[in-house]
Amino acid sequence: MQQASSKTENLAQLYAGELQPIVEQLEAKRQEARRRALMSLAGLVPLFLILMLIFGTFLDFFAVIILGFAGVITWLGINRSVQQKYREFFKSEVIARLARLVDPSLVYYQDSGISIEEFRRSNLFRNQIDRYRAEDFFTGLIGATQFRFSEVHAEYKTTSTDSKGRRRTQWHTIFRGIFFIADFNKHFNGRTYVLPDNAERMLGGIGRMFQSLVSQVDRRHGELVMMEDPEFEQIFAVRSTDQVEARYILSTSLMQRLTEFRQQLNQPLHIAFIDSQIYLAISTSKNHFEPPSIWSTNALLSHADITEYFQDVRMAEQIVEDLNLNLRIWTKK
Amino acid sequence: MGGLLVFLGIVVVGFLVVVIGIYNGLVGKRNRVDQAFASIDVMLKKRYDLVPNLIATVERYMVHERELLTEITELRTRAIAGDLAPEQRVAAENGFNAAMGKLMVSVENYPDLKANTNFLQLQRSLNEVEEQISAARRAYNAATTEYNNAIQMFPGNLMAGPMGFMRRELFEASMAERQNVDVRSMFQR
Repeated sequence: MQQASSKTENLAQLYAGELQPIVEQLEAKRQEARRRALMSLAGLVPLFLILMLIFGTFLDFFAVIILGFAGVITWLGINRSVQQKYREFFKSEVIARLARLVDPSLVYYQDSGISIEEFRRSNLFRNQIDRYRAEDFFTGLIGATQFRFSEVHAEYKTTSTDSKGRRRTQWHTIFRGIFFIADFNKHFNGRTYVLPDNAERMLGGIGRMFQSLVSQVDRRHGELVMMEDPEFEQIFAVRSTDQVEARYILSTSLMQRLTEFRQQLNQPLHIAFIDSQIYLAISTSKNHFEPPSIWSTNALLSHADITEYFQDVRMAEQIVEDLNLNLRIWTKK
Repeated sequence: MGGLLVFLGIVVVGFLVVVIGIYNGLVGKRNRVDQAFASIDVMLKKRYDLVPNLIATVERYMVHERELLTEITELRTRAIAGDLAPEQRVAAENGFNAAMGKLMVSVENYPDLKANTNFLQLQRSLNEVEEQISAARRAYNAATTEYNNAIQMFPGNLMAGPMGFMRRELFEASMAERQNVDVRSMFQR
């Protein structure tokens, strides 16, 4: 594996050489998509207004709304393919190159993702999922650690019927962000969860009492495990099917590393240890690995922008390093 | 008159329920401490089980350390005999740890041994068991702290004394253990 500093240099080289023309092409494609969108808008709006002027008096309010709606759909339809191409170009040319730079063995599939079965297997979130989308799948090997991660958006829906008998469906996000799975460096049989600790952060000791009461009722994640690292305990609540094994997995050094990792991340973090694998769910509001919006006036990707994408692509390497997953001194190789 | 009796009855029953609840809670916590203590023993036994294999592997190479190897074997036999008082056991344990530390240091002098796959595998197993022992000790400490808290805090403290719940000691690394050579440092990190 290369050193981090040399990778930054490589990135500068890549940007100055290979990426420069691609970034320009990308910008041209974006400008075209934008022009196309504006032009078609400029065509459709007057058409709509003229139709309104001629037939407006014969039509009722609902017909106008339906007509307007049809207009918007047509407009989206005209632009969809161009925008899709722009997005695909960005992913296959820019992101894929960055992935190769991180590690030649790193494989990137833009349309693939962590499967819903694997997401369910983590048991981190409620299991009733009504809509599941995953994209930007990365998989590879860092040192001795096999890993894969992708963007995931899981939702469930609620349907309510109001007094007039109209049904309303609402979608609620279960999880949205980066879902990361890697081979853990120790063997274990039980299940251990490291979850964000909201109760203790807000209520302190009372929160802890409350937590332990809840964990006695809600056995989904096993029983509460009290850790001796106070900083770690503040941020996380640990639950496990095995008190000793939980401490075997969460050694004092891993607890420290997780605390630091969480502080750097500054995002909610859910972790599961199952079948000798580590599952990390990092909630983010940002849609990662996407090109700049077509609406901005000038979005030629600078070196700094590319560096930001590069950091995202390197996430796996960072996690493996931060959590020291390549430390293989136990029977698991 | 009848009303007062019913009221008194309710108070007495309520009081009994609370007392029974606290008592059962304390017993539960004490049992967890015992269970955690037993799990340390399980892990220690696992480590002692590795020793004969380890000795068999290293004695072919370590021709100059016969004494040390004999010492380790003896300490193991003594530690697993099971008829030791707690203090003696701790002493045997410490002696064993020190001897193992010495063994791992002298491995450095035998490059052939360090390359032996069988030995490397054993070393990994040893590391794993060490980590499990430390996890079991931490679990014991957590259970003990919870138990000690329960018998020292209100309302448990009112009942712990009369009912014979005694404070338990936490596991602390002895000075000798702290100075022990870390087996893991044999591998590059």
